[in-house]
Amino acid sequence: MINRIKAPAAAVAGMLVLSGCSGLLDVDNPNNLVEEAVRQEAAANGVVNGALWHVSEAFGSVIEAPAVVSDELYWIGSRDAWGALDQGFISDPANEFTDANFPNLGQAVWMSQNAVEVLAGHLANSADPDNFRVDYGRALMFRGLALMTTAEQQSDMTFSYKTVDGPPVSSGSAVLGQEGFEIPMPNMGAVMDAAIASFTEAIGVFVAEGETDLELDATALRMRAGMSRQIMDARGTVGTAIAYNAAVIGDANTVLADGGGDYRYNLSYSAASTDCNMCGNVNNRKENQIDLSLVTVDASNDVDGINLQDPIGGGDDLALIAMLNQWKGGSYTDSGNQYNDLTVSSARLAHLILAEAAAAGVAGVGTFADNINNLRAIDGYTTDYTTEDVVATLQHHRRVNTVLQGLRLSDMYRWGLEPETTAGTDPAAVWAPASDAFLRRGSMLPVTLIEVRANCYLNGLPCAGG
Amino acid sequence: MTSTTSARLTSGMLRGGLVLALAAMLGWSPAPVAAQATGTLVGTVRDAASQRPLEAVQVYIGGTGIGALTNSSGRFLLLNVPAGEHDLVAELVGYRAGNSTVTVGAGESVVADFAMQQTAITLDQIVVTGSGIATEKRKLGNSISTLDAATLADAPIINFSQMIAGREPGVVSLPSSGYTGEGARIRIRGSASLSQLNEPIIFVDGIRVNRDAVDANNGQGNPSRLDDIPPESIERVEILKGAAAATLYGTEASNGVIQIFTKRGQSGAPRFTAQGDWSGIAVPTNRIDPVADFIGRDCDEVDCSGADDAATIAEIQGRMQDRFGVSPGAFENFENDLVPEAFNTGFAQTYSASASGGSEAFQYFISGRYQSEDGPYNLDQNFQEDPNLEASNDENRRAGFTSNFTITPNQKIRIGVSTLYSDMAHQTPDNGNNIYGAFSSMLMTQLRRATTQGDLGTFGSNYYGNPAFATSRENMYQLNTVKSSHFAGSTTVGFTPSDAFRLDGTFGLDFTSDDAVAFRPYAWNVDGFSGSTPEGNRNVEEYRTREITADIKGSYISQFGANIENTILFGGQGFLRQNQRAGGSGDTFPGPGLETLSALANDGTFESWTRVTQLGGYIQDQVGINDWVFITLGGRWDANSAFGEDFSTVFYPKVSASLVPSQGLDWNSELISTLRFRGAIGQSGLQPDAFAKFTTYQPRPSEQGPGVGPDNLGNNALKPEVSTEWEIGAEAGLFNDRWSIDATYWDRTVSDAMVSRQFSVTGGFTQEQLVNIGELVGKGVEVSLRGTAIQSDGLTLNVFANTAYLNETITDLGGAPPLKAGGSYPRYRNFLVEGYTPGAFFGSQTIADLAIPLNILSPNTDGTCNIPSEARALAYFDQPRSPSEFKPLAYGNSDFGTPSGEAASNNCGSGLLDTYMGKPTPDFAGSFGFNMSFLQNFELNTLFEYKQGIQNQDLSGMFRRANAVIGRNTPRAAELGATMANPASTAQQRLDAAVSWANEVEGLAPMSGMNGIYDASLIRFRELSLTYRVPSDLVEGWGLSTATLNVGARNLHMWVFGDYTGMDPETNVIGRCNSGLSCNFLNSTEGWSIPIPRRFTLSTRVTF
Repeated sequence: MINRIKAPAAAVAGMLVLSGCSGLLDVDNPNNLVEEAVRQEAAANGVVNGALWHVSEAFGSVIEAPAVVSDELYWIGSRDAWGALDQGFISDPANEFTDANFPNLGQAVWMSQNAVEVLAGHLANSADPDNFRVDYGRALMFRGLALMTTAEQQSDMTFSYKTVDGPPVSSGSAVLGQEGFEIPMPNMGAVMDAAIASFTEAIGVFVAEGETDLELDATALRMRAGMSRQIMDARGTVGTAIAYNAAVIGDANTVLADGGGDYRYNLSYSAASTDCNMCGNVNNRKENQIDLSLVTVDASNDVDGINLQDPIGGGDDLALIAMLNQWKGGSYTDSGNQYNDLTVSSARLAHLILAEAAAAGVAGVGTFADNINNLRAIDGYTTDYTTEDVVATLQHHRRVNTVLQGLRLSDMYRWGLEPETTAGTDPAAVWAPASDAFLRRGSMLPVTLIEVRANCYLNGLPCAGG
Repeated sequence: MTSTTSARLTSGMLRGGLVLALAAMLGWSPAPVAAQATGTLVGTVRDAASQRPLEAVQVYIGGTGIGALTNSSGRFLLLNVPAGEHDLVAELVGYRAGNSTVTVGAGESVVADFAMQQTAITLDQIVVTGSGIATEKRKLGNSISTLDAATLADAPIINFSQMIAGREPGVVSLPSSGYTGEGARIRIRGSASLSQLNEPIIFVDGIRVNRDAVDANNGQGNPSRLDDIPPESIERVEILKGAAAATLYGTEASNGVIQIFTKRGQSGAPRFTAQGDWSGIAVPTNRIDPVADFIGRDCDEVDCSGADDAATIAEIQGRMQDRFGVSPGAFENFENDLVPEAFNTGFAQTYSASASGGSEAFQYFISGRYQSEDGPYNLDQNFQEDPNLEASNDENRRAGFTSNFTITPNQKIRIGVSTLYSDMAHQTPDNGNNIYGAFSSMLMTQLRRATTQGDLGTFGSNYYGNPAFATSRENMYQLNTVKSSHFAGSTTVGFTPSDAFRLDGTFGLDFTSDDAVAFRPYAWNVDGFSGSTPEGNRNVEEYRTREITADIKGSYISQFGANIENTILFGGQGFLRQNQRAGGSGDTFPGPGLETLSALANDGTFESWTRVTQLGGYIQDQVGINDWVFITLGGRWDANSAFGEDFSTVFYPKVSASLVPSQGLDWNSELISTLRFRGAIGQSGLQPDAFAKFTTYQPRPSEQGPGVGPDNLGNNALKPEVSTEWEIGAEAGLFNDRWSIDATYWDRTVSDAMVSRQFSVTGGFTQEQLVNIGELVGKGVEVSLRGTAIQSDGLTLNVFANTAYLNETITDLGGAPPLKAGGSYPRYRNFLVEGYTPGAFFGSQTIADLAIPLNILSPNTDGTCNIPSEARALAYFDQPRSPSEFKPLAYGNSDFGTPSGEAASNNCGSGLLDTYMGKPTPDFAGSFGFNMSFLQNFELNTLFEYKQGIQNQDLSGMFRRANAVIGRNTPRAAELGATMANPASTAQQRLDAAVSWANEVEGLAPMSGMNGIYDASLIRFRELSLTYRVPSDLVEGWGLSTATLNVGARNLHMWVFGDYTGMDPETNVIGRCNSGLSCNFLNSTEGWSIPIPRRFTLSTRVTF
C-alpha cells in the first residue's frame, strides 16, 4: 500500500517504522462483500435474493403514504408529516416520510436491475448457464415488481447509476440500466410497460424451466401491472368501469385457473429478514391506524371492531376481516404484529378485474354478478349480489379485497371519491381544499427532496461532463 | 543548555521519581553522599497571602540534584544535604520562584520555610504534549494550555468532563443533558471537520485511549469514557488546541489533543489521602411551563355542537373533578404543574483514597475511587409499585483503580508503569426524542385525558393523560442498562546514554468492554395502553474496543557556542484501533420472567468489526538563541489503513517562533513585567472512516434466502482532510506579574475536507459517501485575563476572565448538495450549507410584517399563496376553527439564504424551509470568576460560564405548543386554541388568536423551525465552593497532616438573556455521542432532556 514513501533522510527512524510495518495497513472489511465478490457466480442467488429484499422493503414502505392520503389509514401519532398526507398534500417533496421512503424504491429498482444484469452476464459467460436461468427469471420478476410499484405510486422518477445521475422520467429522456441493458423510460406509462415486459420475460423463463409456481406468481403480477397501466390513464378523470385489455383478462383467467381459491402473491417480512415499515407504523408505533370508515377503535386507538358493513347482506364485511386478519398476523383485534404478509396480487384481484371488465361491457368475461359472487364465495358469503348498484358494488369490493395493497388511492382518483369525516377523527384528516389530492386528481408521490438535492438534473448544478 | 534553563526544567517536570532520572540525563549526578558529612533541610511552603500550605512545590538545591516535593501540608524534607551553604529554591506553577540561602551543618536539621508570591503568568511551566520532550512553554510558538489539578482540588467537580469545563478559552465542554452519568462532548476551537468526529484525541500518560461515549441505548444519558479517569488521580492536563500545535500527532489530530498525566509517587514515607463527597441533586423546574388544557378539544365538532358533544364534555368534567379536583367549563383553560412530579432530590456519594511514596529508585502512587449516584428522575414515586416489574431509574456507579510505578534501576534508565481500571454500571430511563421516553411523556401529557390512578393492573388507567403511544407508567418499565469496564495500561522506558541524548519508548493498551441492554419485560404495558411489543422485547449489544499505542522517540540537545542551543527530536508512532460489536434484538417473550434473547419469538443478530492502523514518523528541530528567541521546525509523515488505494502517505509540516523580549533584552518595566510574542503555523489531519474506501454490499437476508444489497459506494481516492492553522499571540505579565493577559488569534483552513456527499439515491447506493471536496475555514480570538485584585494580610482576591470568539464558515462543498443533520427528520434544522456556519439553522419563519400571515385560502392560479384580506379572514373565522385547519404564511426562500419576501406555505410558494435562522455555536463563549482566600483558612471559589450570540431550537417546546396529537398543552397554546374553537368567540377574537398562533405557537413539520429557534445567550453560575482548612495544630492532634471541609454547588443559577423559550438551552437532543453528522452538528437543539440539575456537595478530605 505504501508505494511512495519519500521521507527525507532525517526522518529515517520514523520511516523505518512505516516501511517495516506496511502490512499492518492492509485491513480488509469482513463485514461486507466487495463489488468483485458480488459479481462472482457463487453470489448469483444472493444477488437475486437481495433484489427481493429491496423490493419487499420498498413495497412495504412506499405504499403507506398513498394509503394515508386515501381512506385506508389515518394519522393518530406525533409526526405531523403524516397529518399533511392525511390532508391530501401528497406532492410535497419535503414530506419526511415520502422523502425517507423514496430511497427504498430507488434502491429496489437499481438492485433488481443490477440482479438482472449480473445474472444476464452469468448466462452469457458461464460454463454452466443452466445454473442461473431460474434466478434470472426471479430477477426479472423482482425488477418488474419494482418498476410496477414505481409506476403505480410515483408521479415521476429518476434512474441513476452509482455516481452518474439520471434524468427524471418527466424529462422524456430517462433510461434504466447500464450500457447493453438500457431501457428507455420516457414517461411513467413506459415504466409500467417495462414492468409488464419484465414480467413477460420472467414468465418465459419460468415456462421454459417448468417453474409453474413462479410462472403463476409472475402472471399474477403482470395481471396487476396491466390493470394498473389502464388505471393510471384513468386517474385524472372520473369514470365508472374500465374495459381491461385482453392481456390483463387473459392473465386474470390464468390466475384463477392455476391459482384459484384464495391464491395470493404475498411479500413476507420478519425480524430476521425484511422490515415492513408500514406494518410497524400502524401495528407497533401506532403513528397511523386503519381508517375509521373501515374499523372502530377503543380509547387506546386499538382496533376493536369493524365499521364497514357488507353492502349486500349487511354485517361486518367478511373480506375486510379476512384481509385485516392477515394484516394483523392473526385476528384483526390482536395487538400489533409488525411483520406481516403484504398481498401484491391475488385471485381476488383477478375476480375484480373480470367483474369490472364485465361491467364495462367486455365480452367473454362472464357477467358482473357471476364474477362478484365468485369473489364473495371466497369469504363464504351466502348472500349474493343481484341488482345493487354496479359501480358502488365494484368500488366496495375492490376496497375491501385490496385493502393496504397500494391500489386504493388510484381507485379514489378514478372514481372521484374523497375521504369522509368520520366521528372522532380530526376534521383535518380529510383532503384540504388546497391539497394536491383535491386540486390535482391523480397526483401521486413526487421525486423527493433527497433526490432533488443530489441529482444534477434536478438541483440546477452542472452534471459531470456537461 | 544554560544552567538557568536546566534549573527551570527540573522545576516543573521532575516530580517524585523522575528527579533522579532526568537529573542524570542533564548531567546532575548525585554526589556520593555517603562519603560526606550531611545534614537535613525541612520546611513548610505557604501561599504568602493566605498562608495556605502549598502542595507539590518543587524544593531543590541548585546544582546538586537534591530535591523533593512538598506534601499536602506544604512540608518538605531534604535528606543527606552536604554540609555548607546552599541556594534553596522553591518552585510551583502559578507562583514566583522562592530563593533562600541556607547553611547546613553536619548532622543538623535546618528549618527553611517559604512564603510564595502568586504570579499570574506561567511561561516557565514545563509541557510535553506536542513538543515531544519536556519543554518550557516560553519556547513554544504555539499555544498550549495546562490545567493543574491541584488548583481544582476544592472545586465541586466529580468527573473529568466537569474538570475541564470553563477553564480554558476555546475549550468547550457541552454537558448535553441533565441525566445522571451523562458525559460531555468536548470541542476545541469549534469544528475542524465536516464529517469526522470533532472530539479531540485523548492520551493518558502517553497512550491513546478510547474517547467514545458509552452507548446507553438512548439519545441522552450516555456516559463518557473520559469520565472513567478519576479526577483525584490526575496531576495535570495539557491541551493542544489545533493543527499548529498538534502537527506531531498527525492524522486524527485536527480537533486538538488532550493529554492527561496521572499522579506519580514521591520518594519518602507513605502518604495517604482520603476524601468523601456527598451531594444532593435537584432539577430546576422554574423554566418548565405548567401543563394546560381546555375542555372541548375532544368534541366531534370544533365548536362542540355535535350530537354527543355535551356528553363528552360532561364526562371530561367529571374526570377532571376526580383527578384534579377542578371542573372547568367548556373552553375554559385550566393548568396543573404536573411535570415536576417526575423528580425528587437525587443523591450522590464518592469515596476516594490514595497512597504514595517510595524510595529514590522506586516510587508508587495508587488510588481507588467509588462513586454512586441516584439521580433526581424518580417517576415511580407517583405510582403503586408493581412487584413483578422493575421501574427505570437514572443511576450511575463507578469504581476505579489507578496505579503508577516509577522504577529507576540506574542513572540511565527509568521505567514507568501506569494502569487504570474502571468498572461502571449505568442505568437511564428511555429519553430523548422518543415517543416512549419517560420524561418526554410527562411533557406531553394532556390534562383532559388524565384519569385517577387505577389499582395496579387496572387497564385503562392513564394517570398523566398521555394521548398516544404509551402511558408514563408504562414508559417507566422500560429498562436501559450498561455494564462497562475500561482498562488502560502503559509502560514507558527512558534511556539516557549521555547528557545530551535521550530515548523514550511508550507502549500501551487501552481496552473497553460494554454490555448494553434495552429491555421491555413481558406485559410492560401495565395500563393496557401501548400496543408496541406488549409481550416485551430485548436488545443486547456487546461492544469491545482496543487501542494499541507504540511510540518511540529520541532527542538530542547540543550547544553551538555560548548562545545557541539546538534540540532535535525524532520518532515513530503506531496506533491500532479495533472495534467489535455483536448482539441481537427481538420481541415477544412467551411469558413473564424471561429476560434473554433466546426466549424471544422473533429475534435477529448482528456482528461487525472495524480496524484502523496508523503509522507515522516525525522530526523536529528547535533552536534557542540567547535563551529568548526560539524557532521550531518540524514535520510528520503518516500512513493510514483508511486512506484510499490511490493514496499513500501524507506529510504535515510545522514551524513556530517564540520571542521573550522581557527575558532577553534589558527589561525593567514594572508595568509590563513579562512579555512574549509567539506565532506558529502547522498542519494536521483527519482520516476517513475505517472502510469508506471500499465499494461494498451488505447482507440482506430475504424470505427466500440470504441476499446482499448495496451498502457503501466507496472511494479509492480518499485521503485525509488537512487542517492548516496559523496563530499569533502574545502574553504579558503586568504589575510585577500580578496580572497577566494572554491573547491569541488563530486562523484555520481545512482543505480536502471530507464531505459526506449524498449521491442520487436512485443510483443504488443510498448511503452518503465521503469525498474530499470541501473546505472549511475558521478563525477566532482567545483572550484570558487573570490577576490578583486584592492582596493583604488575611485576604487575597484573585480574579479571572476569558473569552473565545469563534467564526466558522463552510466555503466549499464541492458541488455537493447541502447536508442536513438528523437525516430526513424534518424537525432537526441544522444544515451544512456553503457560506454558513456548520450546523446553521435553516427553517421556516412567519412573515412578521404581514398583518394576517395565514394560509386560509386556495392558492392563486400561478401557485403562489393567496394572502387574505381582513374581510376574507374574518369571514373564514366566522365559525370556530381548529389550528389544524390552517397554516401560517412563511418567508419563501429557494436557495438556502435570506428570505426572498415571497409568501410560502405548505401548499403554495417555494423554499418554505430554507430561511437562515441562526447558528448553534456562540460568537463568544468563556468564563469568569474569582478565588478569594480569607481568614487564613477559608477559600471561596466561583466560576461562571457564558455564551453570547447563539441560537437554540426549543424542539420539545415546539412539540408542547404545536403538535396536534401529543402537544398543544402549554398555557398559551391552550388559551389560543380555546379561543378559536369557542363558539362564543367573535370572528375578530378568533382571527387575533390565529395570528398569535402563527406568530408564537405554530411549528414542527411542515413549518419546521417556525417559532422554535431563539437567541439563547446565557450566563450560568457553574461553580461555587467554600473551603475550610482545619488549622494544622488541630489536625495534628488527630494524627492527620491536613483536613479540609468543603461545601460546593454546581449550576446554581442560569440567566438567559435572549428570548429562548426552552427549559435549558445547554441540553441537547443528542447527548454524548460517538460519530456521524448529527454528533457533530445537531447542536443547540433542546429535546426532552431533564434540565441540568443543581448539585450541592459536602466534601471532606484528609491526608496523613
